[in-house]
Amino acid sequence: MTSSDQTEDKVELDPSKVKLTIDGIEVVVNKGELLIEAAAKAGKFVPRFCYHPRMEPVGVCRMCLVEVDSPRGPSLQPSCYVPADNGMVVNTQSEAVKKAQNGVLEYLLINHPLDCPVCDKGGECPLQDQTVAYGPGESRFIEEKRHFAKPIAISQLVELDRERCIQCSRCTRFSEEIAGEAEIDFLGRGDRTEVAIFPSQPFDSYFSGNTVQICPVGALTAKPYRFKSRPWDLEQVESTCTSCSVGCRVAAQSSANQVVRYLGIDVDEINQSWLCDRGRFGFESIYSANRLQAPMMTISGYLQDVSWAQAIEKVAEVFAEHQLKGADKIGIIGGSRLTNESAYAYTKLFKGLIGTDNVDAAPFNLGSINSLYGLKTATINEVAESDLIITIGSNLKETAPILFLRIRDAILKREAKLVEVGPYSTPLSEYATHVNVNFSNFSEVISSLLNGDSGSENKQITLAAELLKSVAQTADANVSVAIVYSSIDANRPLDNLEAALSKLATFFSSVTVRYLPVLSKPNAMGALDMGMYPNLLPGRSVLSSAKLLKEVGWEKLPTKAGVDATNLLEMAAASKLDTLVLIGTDILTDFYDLELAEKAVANVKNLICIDTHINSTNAKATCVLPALYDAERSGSFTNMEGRVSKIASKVTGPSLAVDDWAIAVQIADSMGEDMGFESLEEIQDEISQVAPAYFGFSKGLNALGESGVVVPMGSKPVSIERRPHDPIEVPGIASTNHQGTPLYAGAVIPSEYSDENTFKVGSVSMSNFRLVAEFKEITLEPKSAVSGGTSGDDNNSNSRPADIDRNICEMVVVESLMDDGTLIKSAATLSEIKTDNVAKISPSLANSVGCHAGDSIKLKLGSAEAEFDVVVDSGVAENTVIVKKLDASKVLYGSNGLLVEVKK
Amino acid sequence: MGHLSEEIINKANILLEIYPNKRSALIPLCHLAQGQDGYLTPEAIVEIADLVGVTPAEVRGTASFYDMFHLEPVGKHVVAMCTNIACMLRGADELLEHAQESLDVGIGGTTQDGQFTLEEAECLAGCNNAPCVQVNHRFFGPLDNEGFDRLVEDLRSGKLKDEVPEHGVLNRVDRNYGLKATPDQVQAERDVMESAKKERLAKKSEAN
Ligand code: SF4
Ligand code: SF4
Ligand code: FES
Ligand code: FES
Repeated sequence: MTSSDQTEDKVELDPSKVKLTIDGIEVVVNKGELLIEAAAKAGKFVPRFCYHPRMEPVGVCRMCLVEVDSPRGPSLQPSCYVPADNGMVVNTQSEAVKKAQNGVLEYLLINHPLDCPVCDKGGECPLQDQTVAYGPGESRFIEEKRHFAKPIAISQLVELDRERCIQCSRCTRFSEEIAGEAEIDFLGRGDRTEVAIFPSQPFDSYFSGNTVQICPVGALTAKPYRFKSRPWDLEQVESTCTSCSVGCRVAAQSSANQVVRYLGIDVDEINQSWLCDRGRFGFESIYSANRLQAPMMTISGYLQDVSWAQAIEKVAEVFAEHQLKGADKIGIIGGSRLTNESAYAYTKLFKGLIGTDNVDAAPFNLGSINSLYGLKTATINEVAESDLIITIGSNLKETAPILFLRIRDAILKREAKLVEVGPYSTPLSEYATHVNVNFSNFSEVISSLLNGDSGSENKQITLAAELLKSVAQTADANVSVAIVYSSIDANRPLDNLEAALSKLATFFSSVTVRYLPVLSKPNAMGALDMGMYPNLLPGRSVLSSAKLLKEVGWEKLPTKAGVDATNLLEMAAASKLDTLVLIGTDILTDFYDLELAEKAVANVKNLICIDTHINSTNAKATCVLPALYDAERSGSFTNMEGRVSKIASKVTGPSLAVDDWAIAVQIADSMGEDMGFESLEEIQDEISQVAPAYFGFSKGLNALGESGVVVPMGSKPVSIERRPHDPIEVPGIASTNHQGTPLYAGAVIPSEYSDENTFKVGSVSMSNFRLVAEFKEITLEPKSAVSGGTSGDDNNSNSRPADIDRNICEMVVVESLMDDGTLIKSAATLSEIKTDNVAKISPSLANSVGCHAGDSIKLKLGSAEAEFDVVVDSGVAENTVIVKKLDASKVLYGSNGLLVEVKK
Repeated sequence: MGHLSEEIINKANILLEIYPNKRSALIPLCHLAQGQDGYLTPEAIVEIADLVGVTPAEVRGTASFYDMFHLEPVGKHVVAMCTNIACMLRGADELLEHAQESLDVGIGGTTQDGQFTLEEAECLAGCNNAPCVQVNHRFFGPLDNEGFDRLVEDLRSGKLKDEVPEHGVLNRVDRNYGLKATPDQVQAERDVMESAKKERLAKKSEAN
């Protein structure tokens, strides 16, 4: 953006720009931009340690001193702290600057141990690099250096070597400013300064790995990477994190064909360089001993390794039978770990070739497809730019950690208002109007929020209602609202969510309102977009609009909608289903109704599992097929916004594991069918042709920039400016700069797929979504479990709490990031982190049970009983108890309903 | 139930009221806590963190910056001996050496009987009485070797117990709990400041 003569006049006019001279080069930058950034625009790199583009500047390391002219002559000033102003004359190369840089580096090295040969940072270390480039070359310091005990563990994940620390305060600032939990801080003064935790409280932040990434020296190291590799041995690709539905952009790095490290990439639209620890360290699960190494079949009662030929033959035989007759007797559950391409391949196999619609990726915590597709989606950036954010349901820190950071940032930096409708207090509650809610009173709460019940006893509702009203009635046309929503309970879709969203949409009809669904599984959006749900077809279309698919071989496509996971399991349990196919889902530990899952597994004739790790369900399978995952496979991923980005493979998997789409192709082949594609590219081409929201997908995909592109793809080219990577911000990542190309927007969507036919929420038409057909509600048999259960013997838990003395409460099960699911359990380091098994209750309930924080209580449901540590939380609704979805609470998940008895 | 006494909690609540940001009360609260235990115990740190709304790591980090706070147990009498220039010129180094010998502790150490912790300090602003020492923040000086021994003897025997409180705190913090303004007065002041600020901003935006 160097200025030229033409721009000069404009500059005079535009008050938001300033013009200054850096090393004789004139640049025009935004007013208030820091000199260090302005210098970058003039092509000058100023060395730095403490400055990080995503954090407030502090100017503590003095590495970035430059000379700035002033009426009193030039003076040295920290370029990371001084904003650019009109007419400034800056020199980044003068003698004085060089001398200062020399001095700062010599000073920093006085106490530095110089153990580069055994330091993980060696080779990608800004201190090394900048010493070579700007340092004195030799030290005059001959005295004894300061010593500290060599690395001390400050958490299960992070080790701290205090001798190497240069006190840049990046880590401590990150913890306080970005993560909002200052578990580390400087201790002491002068040369004794060290980064420290409080002795009894480890650095157990979900975001701790970021401090390791941004530490400019080897002071902070992460256990999973320690001594695993040298930077010059690393290879890397730019890819997408597949641990949750945020879909952060990462650099996946490997050494000797082993993934050793994930780093966050600075993408403005999504993760802005941060990652959560689950996403960062989850890759260790690739190398778990539980990884499936070969196909297996149960032969004479034992699960045994077999050849692929044997396994495929068996599966093909079973599928071929269903294809001939009884396509309704096979059901498929799972799919959110798949790439979009693999999801498409399976959908084609099951819906198009076998002819069943009983496919449910079961990621679904929203209640209805309408509440996903029928609303105008917000991008994460749009949420962050809203004036009012309403979060409904889960604690985002547990379910979508980076979205949590983005919202926290929006509240603190932009003073966005937040109304939080959730079952318990979260770290955002202190900035929010928190309205407590449980599963059964959800509709009531939403109604009183919107009716502005000032008579409500609940003060929070009154406060929130006033806030909502003031926004809804504002005359300011620029006001925008974002609603971030998910179910209240991790186990149960919220049936009345759609109605609530519809009410909200009506309520805010005079301002801009957008919606962001928080899906509970990683590529849930991709799986649904590829049709892995009853009645859905690829590209957000429905069974009745299958014209295009018929042209590419979806011969057997059924016309009647199939049934969802719960109903499939009920059929299986009643021996009405012959074959159950599970794709990456462990229903015996993960399904909300474990009794039902057990019965289903026991009574189904063929249990076919396509999986990555051995688990309690596939251990009982007729046939298990090993698949690739994480950095072993390529394809694309669709996040909660509908943003498609690339997953790139970096390493090869276990020698006998195969990519999912290839498994589908093999099976089809063995059935004597032709899938019509034999490579990823061919699948992508097919998706482009037949999946309306993904028209133009393959062309767009190959041109994807680092931020991906949001579907449905528009017809106009989009160009998003790539932010240059700060060379010391993400060590070693500069090369990923060259991977992306400018964004390419998809092909034009033909007019027959126009805006008219949309998914609808209530009577509000959200027609900005180009969708294909009106979604007709699928009528399912009522599920007794969800409504509270009507089956015989356990009648005490089925009625509303009449008997307060007995403390009958509603149990709400909530997610935790570090749960004990397959990913965490199989990742060596993460699996050691213990999540406390707590039950959160309101102060009044604590009173009536007679317990205090830290006591333990028992929850009783029918004959099942489990013990928890008490946390008293005023953000919990009366007569509600919150437990985490962990093995310890699983005995309570059954078809008996929501009501548990709380006992001391 | 808590670690800090009720009296301290009451004082703390008054202190918390008088600052615009709760965390500004961190340092005075640390003084109060130290007055109770002689040093900042981990339990006290956790409670202070809770009171001012920061993390224990931040309280410990902040306190560690200041020599006046102790994070480890100290003796009943903390003897801070100045070795800065005025005192040094008047024999502070020698006095410090003598103190170490006669108390039989190193700098920073505590005597076996738990009576004395010896510290080296920078200028205590008592240069007129150089070389000077502070015992639990009370001044003594000028001192020679004999004077120092006598002081130690008097402290040991309890002769000075009225002048030098055990685990003494700064008078300033203890006295009237800092500021004397009532919350109402503070609020009134703050309102005045706020409206002045608003006016200023209004003028500024007019000017633009
Ligand atoms: S540990 Fe690293 S990031 Fe933290 S202050 Fe030291 S050098 Fe900076
Ligand atoms: S927030 Fe989600 S996508 Fe981002 S790093 Fe964590 S798990 Fe991965
Ligand atoms: S002072 Fe500017 S980078 Fe540290
Ligand atoms: S130099 Fe000792 S008190 Fe000032």
